[in-house]
Amino acid sequence: MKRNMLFVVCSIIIIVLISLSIFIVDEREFVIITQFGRVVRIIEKPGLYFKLPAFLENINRFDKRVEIFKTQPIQLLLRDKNPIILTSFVCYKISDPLTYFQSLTNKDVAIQRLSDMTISTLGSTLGEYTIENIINTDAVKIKLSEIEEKVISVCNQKAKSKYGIEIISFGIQRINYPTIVLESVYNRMQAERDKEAQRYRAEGMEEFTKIEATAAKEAAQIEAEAYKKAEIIKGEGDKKAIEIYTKAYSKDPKFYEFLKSLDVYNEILKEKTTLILSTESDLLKYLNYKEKDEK
Amino acid sequence: MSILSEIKIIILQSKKYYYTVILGLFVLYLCSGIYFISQNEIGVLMRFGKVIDANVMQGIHYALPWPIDKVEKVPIKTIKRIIIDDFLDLPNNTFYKNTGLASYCITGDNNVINISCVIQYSISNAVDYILNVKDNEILLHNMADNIIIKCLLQLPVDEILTYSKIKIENYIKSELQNKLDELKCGLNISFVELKDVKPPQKVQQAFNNVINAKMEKEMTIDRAKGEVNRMIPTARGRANRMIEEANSYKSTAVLRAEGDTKRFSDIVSQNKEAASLTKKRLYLEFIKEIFPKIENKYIISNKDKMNAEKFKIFIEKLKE
Repeated sequence: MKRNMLFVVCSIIIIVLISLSIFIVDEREFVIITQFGRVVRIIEKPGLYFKLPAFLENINRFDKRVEIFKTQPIQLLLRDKNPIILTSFVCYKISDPLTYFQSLTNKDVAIQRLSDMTISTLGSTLGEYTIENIINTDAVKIKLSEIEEKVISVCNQKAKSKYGIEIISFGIQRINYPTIVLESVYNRMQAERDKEAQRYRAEGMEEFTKIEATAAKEAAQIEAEAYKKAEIIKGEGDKKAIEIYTKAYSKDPKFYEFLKSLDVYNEILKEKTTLILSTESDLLKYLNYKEKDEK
Repeated sequence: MSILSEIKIIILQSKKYYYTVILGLFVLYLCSGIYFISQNEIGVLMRFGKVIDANVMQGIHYALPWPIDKVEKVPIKTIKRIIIDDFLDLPNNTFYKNTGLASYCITGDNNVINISCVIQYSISNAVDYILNVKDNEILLHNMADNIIIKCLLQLPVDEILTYSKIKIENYIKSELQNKLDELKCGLNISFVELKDVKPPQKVQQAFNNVINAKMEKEMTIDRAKGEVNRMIPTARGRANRMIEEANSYKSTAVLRAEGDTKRFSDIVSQNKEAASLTKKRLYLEFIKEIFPKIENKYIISNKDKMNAEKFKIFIEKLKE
């Protein structure tokens, strides 16, 4: 019975010891084994590993995956002294766990260091560019990606050797004007819009006048043509009438003269007319009527 | 000793149960390796931390129990949605609260604009998704911000507000996908849609004014067209009237001429004797009509010279 008991106790102790010295390394992590703070082993491959049990050897796990953080917005000056406020983000991963472990105590420190480093690099890089390289309707002149690439390569030179960190990606996440500049931007936008609105209205009026003028011209043309046609028709009428008159009157021009003269007399002899007639006139010849006249 | 002897008695008494319990626990432990993968998921099976099967399909599966195997379930077929509203001037904007800066995007012609977009994405590669990046969604969000500002920095504000919506969406989609692929993020962008695109509140009025002006322009042009529609027919009407009047003038003139000449012709066409008489008659009728109207009529005789002299004096007196 005593042997049996001993067996049970021993096996329990062994299980406990084994469980304290076996550990699994995930695909997503690095492990650094330290013995009282001294680095003993670095494990970069996943799998099942053994170590001295409990406090004799410590496991320090580090994430292999890409970490991401945002920097604080910061006002920087471009080469043309234009101020601009930039917020950026940084993606990094641990490339050398040993250096990382030795130089940086934890993630917060790493982020702080990287943040300082990228912002100062960004500041010095921006000093080589003007506002035209950032804001421009000509896409070729925009050098934002180039700036980002430069920051990555410059920072990586330091970060890799000093901190064991590789910056995978760096990007501007936000661009702001300083508040005073923004006010003037608003004012300019306002002015530009007002100008545009005015332009549209003027264009409308111009178009209106143009269309109306064309129409007026067309209308005048129509009326003028009609006038011409009408005059021709009237002329034809006159011509025809004259022809009729001429044809008729030419049969006896003297009689026509007689009739027309009567008409004219009728017109010119009014109430106030003083008429002096000779007794010799044909009309009054009968006033001196004598029998012999008949002969 | 008494406790140990008691345990010994219990063990001896329940030896059979003891084995049964241990066996039962062991079976339970083995059973804990059974797992389910649902329809929209994919399983990544890891043994001692190492991926041994990256593509466990839906259904019931068995893995060796903890701590040997571990299964990560990745919702590969679920379409997720993220709203990028960093460039909207919202009242509860954390960026504004932290920095006092307004949120907006700068355009290529130095205007500012508020914009938001919806991105739909799904996981395209489960292994990349779980192994390469710690916070895939945060990465996606920041990358999207970066690409949106880059895109708008090269476009004039009018283009952004009007016709380049689809162009911007396509640009964001392809650039974002490129960036994510570069980082082996395991995400696939299926859809990008610009949701809000509007000028900042402060200058909204001015932008509306432009839209109104544009509409006014259209209206003015329409009014001009209406005017044309009125002017041309009116002119045509007047033209028609002119021609009609001319036509009636023509026919009237002809008819009158015909009428006028009819009488004349009739008289002329008589024989000479009759014509002469008619002539005389007409003359006398005329005299009869006209003479009574005339107030002053003087008749003098040519033979009487004296009379003529007297008459001359009389006339002069009258004139005085």
